Amino acid sequence: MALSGIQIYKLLPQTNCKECGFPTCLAFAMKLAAKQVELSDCPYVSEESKTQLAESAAPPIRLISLKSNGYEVKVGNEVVLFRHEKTFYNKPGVFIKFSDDIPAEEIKARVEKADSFVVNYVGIDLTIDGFAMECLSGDADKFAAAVKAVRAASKRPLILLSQDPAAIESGLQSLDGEAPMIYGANADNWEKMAELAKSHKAVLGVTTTFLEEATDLTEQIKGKGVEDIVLGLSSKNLSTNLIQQTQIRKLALKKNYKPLGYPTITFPTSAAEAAQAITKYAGFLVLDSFTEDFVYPLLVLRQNIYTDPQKPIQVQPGIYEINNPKPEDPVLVTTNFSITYFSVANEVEGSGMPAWLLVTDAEGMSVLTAWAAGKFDAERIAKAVKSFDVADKVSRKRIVLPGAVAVLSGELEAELPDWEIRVGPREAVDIPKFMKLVLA
Amino acid sequence: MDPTTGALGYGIEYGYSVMERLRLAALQGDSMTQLPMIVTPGFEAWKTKEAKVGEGVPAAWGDWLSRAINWEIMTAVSLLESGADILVLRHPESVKQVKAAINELMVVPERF
Repeated sequence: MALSGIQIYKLLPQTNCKECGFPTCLAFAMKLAAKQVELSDCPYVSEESKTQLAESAAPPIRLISLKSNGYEVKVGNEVVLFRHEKTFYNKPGVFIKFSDDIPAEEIKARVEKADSFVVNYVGIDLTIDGFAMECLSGDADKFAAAVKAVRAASKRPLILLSQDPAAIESGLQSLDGEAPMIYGANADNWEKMAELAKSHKAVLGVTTTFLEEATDLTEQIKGKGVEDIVLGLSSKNLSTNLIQQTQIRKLALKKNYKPLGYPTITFPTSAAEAAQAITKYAGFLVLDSFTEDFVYPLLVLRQNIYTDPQKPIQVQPGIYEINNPKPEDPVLVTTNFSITYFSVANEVEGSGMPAWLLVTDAEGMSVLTAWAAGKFDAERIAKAVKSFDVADKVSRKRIVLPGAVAVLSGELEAELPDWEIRVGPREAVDIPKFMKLVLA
Repeated sequence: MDPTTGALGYGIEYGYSVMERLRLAALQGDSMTQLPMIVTPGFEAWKTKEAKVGEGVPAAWGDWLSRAINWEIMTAVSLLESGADILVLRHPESVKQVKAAINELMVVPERF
């Protein structure tokens, strides 16, 4: 954990020499604690203090990055237990696992399919992050060939799964210049695995059953000079996994406990396990198969949990076509707060009736909030009608206001004199009924 | 109490964080928040286009029925992880899997 200003002050020379530009060492320490100045501004700080301060400045959960030709997956560096305390920063990597006991051609075909998966959600392209290849054959050459097959079909980062250092070494041969993960190191093989990680600049995953064992292993591995470590706990159930993941995150953040200050890797086999992994702190998820119907909701969940709760998510203001509207169809107005937009768009779509949805720039606020803040008024709506050329798209000029801002109808009539102004329902859920009864 | 959450993809993160905050407040002694929480992931998830619509959607959305069930389970389990006490579900398969998840979560491991 970061040191307080007072703690930092104790490590400074305390001579108040002013050479750093501050009147006292304490003032400088406070600025350091707030990360507004650099320690190098103090010409007299001792080497010992420098080391201590550098350690305290290291992130409590190490940033780990897997790299391959043009791709990078970054995890770790998290600072909170609950997303409302600040935000979760680095989305867990979602990897698809294959094994070397299937023919190379089949591996290629399956990898290609998963590699090309892309689905658009709220204007964001969701894809998987990489692949894991597991050595089940027990044959190092076969494993190397399988890794090559994956590499031939995808350029995304890789995780090599085997506890046999010979297999891992053989698999790493075709991954020069990349930063893959090798998994995993256990109490028996860790020295050899650490050497391989070091010589190939790979990230090393440790695989243990209990937290204590993980602690011992990471300390030993760190002693060998390998610092890019990922924690794998082979949990048998959701309960143990939740406890382990929470303890790791808690000890790292609250106690600055370095032996567990690393991201984790999990191997979920069901929708429930995968959802737990996303919400409760996994750094990597390795799935044992690829199906769109599973990966799509999973990636959406990851997107949702890792959005910044401090900023409302917005959609692009504009005129959206729902159910292929024609010029005689009505124009519905709403704001560009994403949840507002999706609630309204979803209901209009569900009604089966065509409509134009005019999304105004309300700085990402919902209808009532935006109205109260003066970001959603008649003037702004009229401006949106003009800037998106709505009048050119419709033959019958009908515009529907959200019921919550019915009070705007008079002003809007003044702003848009040749339009027919209607007031819709207060709640999005009542839109289909409203459209059928009033607009049909 | 019903914290009224949205489905996966439709604002679940708001309800998720509200529930975590409610539970933390309850554990710190705020009597206003010390009520069990009821959530309706079945209703919410099956209202989404991803669950309701099987035709004219991108091929990358995958198999309709499995997608819909996964949508419901992932919505439900996320809310379970953030403190839900009663979950109202829809599909028998979701009920089965979410029940199994609850049973697993209630096991107290001897060692971890």
